Amino acid sequence: MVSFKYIFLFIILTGLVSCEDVVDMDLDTEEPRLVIDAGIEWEKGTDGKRQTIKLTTTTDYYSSEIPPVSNAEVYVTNSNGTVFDFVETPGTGMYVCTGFVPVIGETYTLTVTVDGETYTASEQLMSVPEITRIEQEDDAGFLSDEIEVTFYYQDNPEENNHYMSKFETDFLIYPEYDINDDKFTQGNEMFDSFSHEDLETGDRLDITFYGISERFDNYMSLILEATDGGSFSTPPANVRGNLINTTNEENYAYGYFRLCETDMRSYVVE
Amino acid sequence: MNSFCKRVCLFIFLTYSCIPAAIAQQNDIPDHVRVSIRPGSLRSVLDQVQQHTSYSFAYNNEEIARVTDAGIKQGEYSLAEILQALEQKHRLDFQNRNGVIYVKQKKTGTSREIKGRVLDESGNPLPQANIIEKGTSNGVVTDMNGNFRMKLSGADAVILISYLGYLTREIRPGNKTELEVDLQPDASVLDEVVVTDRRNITEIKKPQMSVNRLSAEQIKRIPVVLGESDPLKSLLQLPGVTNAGEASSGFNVRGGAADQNLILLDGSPMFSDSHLFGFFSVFNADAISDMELYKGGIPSSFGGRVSSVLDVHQKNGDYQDFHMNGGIGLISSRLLAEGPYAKGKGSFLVAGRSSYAHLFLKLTDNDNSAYFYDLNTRLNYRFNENNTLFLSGYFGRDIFDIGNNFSSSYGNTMLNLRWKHDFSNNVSSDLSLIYSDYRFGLELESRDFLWDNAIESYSAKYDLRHYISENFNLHYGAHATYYDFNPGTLKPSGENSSINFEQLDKKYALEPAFYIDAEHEISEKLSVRYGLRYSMFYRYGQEDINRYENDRAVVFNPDFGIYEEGTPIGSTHYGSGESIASFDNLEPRIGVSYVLNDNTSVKASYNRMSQYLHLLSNTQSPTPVNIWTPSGPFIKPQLLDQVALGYFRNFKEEAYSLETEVFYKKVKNRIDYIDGAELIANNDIEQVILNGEARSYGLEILLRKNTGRLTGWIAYTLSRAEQRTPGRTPEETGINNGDWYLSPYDKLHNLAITGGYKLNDKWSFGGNFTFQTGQPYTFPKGQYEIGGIRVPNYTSRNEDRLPSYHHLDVSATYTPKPHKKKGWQGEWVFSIYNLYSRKNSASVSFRPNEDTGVNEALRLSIFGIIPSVSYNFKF
Repeated sequence: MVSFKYIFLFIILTGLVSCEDVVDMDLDTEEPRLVIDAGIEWEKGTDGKRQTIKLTTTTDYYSSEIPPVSNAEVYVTNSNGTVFDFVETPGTGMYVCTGFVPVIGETYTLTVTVDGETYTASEQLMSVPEITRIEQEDDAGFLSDEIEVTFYYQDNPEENNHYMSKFETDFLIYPEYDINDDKFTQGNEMFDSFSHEDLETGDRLDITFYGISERFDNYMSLILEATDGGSFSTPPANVRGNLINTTNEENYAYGYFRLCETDMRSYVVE
Repeated sequence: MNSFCKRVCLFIFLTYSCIPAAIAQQNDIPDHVRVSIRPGSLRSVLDQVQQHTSYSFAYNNEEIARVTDAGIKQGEYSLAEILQALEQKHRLDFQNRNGVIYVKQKKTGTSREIKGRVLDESGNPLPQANIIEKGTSNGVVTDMNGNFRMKLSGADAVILISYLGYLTREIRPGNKTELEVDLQPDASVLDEVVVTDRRNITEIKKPQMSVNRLSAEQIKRIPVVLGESDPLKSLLQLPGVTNAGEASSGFNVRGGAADQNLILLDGSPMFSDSHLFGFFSVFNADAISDMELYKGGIPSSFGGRVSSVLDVHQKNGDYQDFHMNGGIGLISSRLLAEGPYAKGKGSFLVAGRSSYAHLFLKLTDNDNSAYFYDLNTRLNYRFNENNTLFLSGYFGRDIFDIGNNFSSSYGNTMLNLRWKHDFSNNVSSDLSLIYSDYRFGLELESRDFLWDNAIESYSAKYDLRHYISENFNLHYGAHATYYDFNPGTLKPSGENSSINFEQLDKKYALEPAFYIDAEHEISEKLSVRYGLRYSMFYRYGQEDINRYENDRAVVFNPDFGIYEEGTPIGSTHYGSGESIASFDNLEPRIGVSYVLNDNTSVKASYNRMSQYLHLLSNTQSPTPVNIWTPSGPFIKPQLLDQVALGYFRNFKEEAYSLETEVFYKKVKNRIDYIDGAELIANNDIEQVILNGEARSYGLEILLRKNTGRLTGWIAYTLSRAEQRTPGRTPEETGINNGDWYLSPYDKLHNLAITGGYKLNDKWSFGGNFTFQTGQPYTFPKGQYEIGGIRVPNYTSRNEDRLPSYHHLDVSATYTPKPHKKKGWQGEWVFSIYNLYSRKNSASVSFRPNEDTGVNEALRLSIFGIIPSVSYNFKF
């Protein structure tokens, strides 16, 4: 759903006598905390055997490096008790599995053991509809001067669905995410779009479209609100995902264990 | 000689001229005893008589000590003459019993009462005008509506009506019991450049405290951004009032939230207070005569919001002559017309204001527009002495139309019909019928949908004022407001829209209240105002209300220590008019003043108030979407208790006044939101709301200079505002671990200095300086990475602060032909906002640099130095 307040504030910021400048702010840093970035992505048309889970810690806000966490034990089990081991590429904090078996609707459990403490999370693998078509508009944006790329998909009228889109292109250092649901569009053809003032003819735009759970929708919405900069409302504090420290509840980890079917498209701007 | 001395001398002269004619029944006091008197207090005069004669006096020390000037000139008088003079002047009664003269305050039983109204040359009421019975110390001042009532000693009494800057009038009421007095400006006084705003002088005797008044003239003297005079922004110069910074709507009173202010325009509620996200207020300064802000000790005639009452009065309209005034500024143009109709029985006022069409938008060759306008109207008709009809109206809109993408229109509408009827000399009444609404509409073409939300209210109010005696007045009445809430209608636009039509559940409620309020002067020194308001609130169907397990619409997830939206286990249907929930509250109010001397008093007050409506907003200042929601099965009414103590003093013959207050207030059931709460287009709003509490306390100091070329005030507030949402059970963590945390509107220090200087008839200058502690803010305590993006890690709410906020503004007003009283009269206003171009932080954003990817802190500042000019005219 479109968030109205940002639309308004956007107007203020674009047109106004206002100015934005970088300021030096001394910021405190809390003790590092484990971050488990466990996104199982099963792209349509592939076997989904190769999966990666990333372990890092929180760090100083201004730091450009994110510290990896090595020597952890990481595995995922399905409801039949099959174990999929994730092995670290040494020193990278990247834990890779090459024999994963993805099944839509199956519930999986993640177990991570670091420094003698064990973290677990369970989640279902969510399906996603196909991207049916992609369109381009050249007079989009608030002042009708931006290129906008829109992709379409058919919502399933039988269930409440939640979706996430990821857009990547050369001039974006970090990907852009968007969250959507069918609350007001149940059963209709839905769309999501990306526009940017720097988007030009010849640019390649990579679109990844995810089916996600309602809980991950809530989580990711908070993450996006936190990355938004916190300028207009109190930003969400201590955003908790679905991980539980079964050894020591207080020493919780950040991050989320999610499993999504995805559909990917690359689009070259005309 | 200043005006005060003039008056005293006049007094003495008049007193003496009365003496020969008034030798009355002082049989037992010999007139052959002669005493030489030096002027002084009453006490000293009596002492002198005691010293030089065989007579002694018996009196109540307090009554006598009050009179610091007996009003007797140096000279030799007979005892009878002295007593005669004192009797006349101070309403004293002397009885000689064997050489002891008993002194008593005269009873007023034989006197009669008149009431009246004092108006200026254009029919606007003059508050704080002086009315004195000639030859006595019997006097009163008019209230905010120019009304007064007083007891006169007899049918031949003469009253003097004076107001600084106006010619004093002398009137013999005869047998009349009601008067309406017009005062004409005194040109000679204006030439002397003695500016006194009597409205500033602190009210010593009345128990009402925590109230600030601003007149239209004061508002216009305060320099503002882009020269657009703004009644709401001028409130920020008062102690105890802050807002979220530049370009933000709403205001916060004594640490309260913006939706806790009751804003009344001619008695009608206004649901939104600003245009363009808070850049400008909905009040056109031209159409406003004055306003009062009640921060505490709120009389029981007001209710429905817990933090403050802002009572804004539109101008009356000129009963005598037609004229127009207006202005041309950088942002908007204004035009106002007022005048009489029906041979002076009625008056009207129409004021319009419109901004220019491309506000703040880059002037490119597109058809974008962004502007606002508003219209104020006022129509009065006097049928006769006892019946007057008033019609007030307001209509305002903000309009946005951006490319082929986005359009929006929103604003307030208000209409109020009031009939003022006097039953007798002692009982008067007001019957008001009011409609007021706020509507917000949006069309997003790129997303193919239309959105509307609204609140509508219909009120009836019946207020009576009953003057029982000189020392006891009663106000009582009944109010009822019916609300119709539309939380949102979502409509597809066009056939290809992916949006389904959705009407969020409409909500209906009725808020009746009864109140009684007594003003009671217990003694010369002690006055009390006490009252009670009984408020009720009924939620009605038709509506389906969700049911939840254990009635918990928000559930706590102990695994992750977070609050989540509950899942309904069913719903209950309530038919049209069927009661869903009801509340009632008794709201006692009391204010006490104790006069230490003529110029000094201490006051104390307590009030309880309840609020049944809540504005859904988790942004720092309200957005124009403005969705109001009623209390009901899951949202409890807010309840406030406030106590305040104050010390009030006028000194240097009222040239300066000092008001000092401390306050403590506590609000129960302040709504708080779970993280990530969607407040717009949420049909199950109860799933994201928790009931918390809020408290604030502080010290306010206001020092005013009321006279001379330089006038103005210094306002300082030291305060704290906090809120807390504890867990409902021991397992729950609550918000922010259930600890108290700073409200976004906590400002530890708040200093405002406002001054005006009148150099001569042509030039006058204004300036103000504001300093506020930076607003509480949440800074990240680190970062981490999820899905390839950098996430700032926020931990505790509002633990940090933005840099402090301050700016200095100046203005100059040039009147080319100040003595011109007819025809075209113009003035130029030049102003500079933020003279030293302070970059105040409206916000600080934490996000990576778009080019390097490295995290940064970005400060957003709205206004740098902004010069402006506007031209005002009148004819």
